[in-house]
Amino acid sequence: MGKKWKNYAWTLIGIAAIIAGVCFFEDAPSEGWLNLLPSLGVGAGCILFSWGVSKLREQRAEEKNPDLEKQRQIAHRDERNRMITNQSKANAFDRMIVVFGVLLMALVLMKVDLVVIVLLGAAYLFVVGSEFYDCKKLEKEM
Amino acid sequence: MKNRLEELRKERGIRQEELAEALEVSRQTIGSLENGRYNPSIILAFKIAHYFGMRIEDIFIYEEE
Repeated sequence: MGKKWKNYAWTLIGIAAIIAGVCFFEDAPSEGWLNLLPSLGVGAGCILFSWGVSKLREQRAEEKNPDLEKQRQIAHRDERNRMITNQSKANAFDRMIVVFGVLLMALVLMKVDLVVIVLLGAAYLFVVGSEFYDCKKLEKEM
Repeated sequence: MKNRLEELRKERGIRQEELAEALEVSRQTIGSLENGRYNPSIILAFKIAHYFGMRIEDIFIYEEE
């Protein structure tokens, strides 16, 4: 299946999910996780629809101007752009570690449900652990 | 690190866009290199030297801090 048809398919799936979500909104059971399904359908549908439409627009612009695709590829591979992106991500990661740490402490002090704290703590440790793992892996590779 | 990129480019009458296309980088990268805001990777430095038919050290001037 071509790239264009894939984007059309995602857009149509998005529309179908929105319609299904809206149609089943009234019929959804009032309790249990099933009552979340229509809202999830609408949410996921909106994401798929907007993603599909933006990709189709990109494709149309590239078809009109073939140089655009080449320029996009150059911009994507450009070493300065990559360095800027990686540096921004690294800075954001450093900030995220502090923000999540403070948030975790705040939730503990607010005596929020232990499940929430454990889940957030596990996510925090996973992120820190994955950074440590990547660091060790890259040290061996380079 | 200083470089003679702008001088060499202008000597040869090449536009930033043309140099960027030949080196497969963005025009902004050429601009940043010329302004000394960005130091290239060794691969890009080799590409630039190869493009101008010169040695890296003839284009990029290392300055001890």
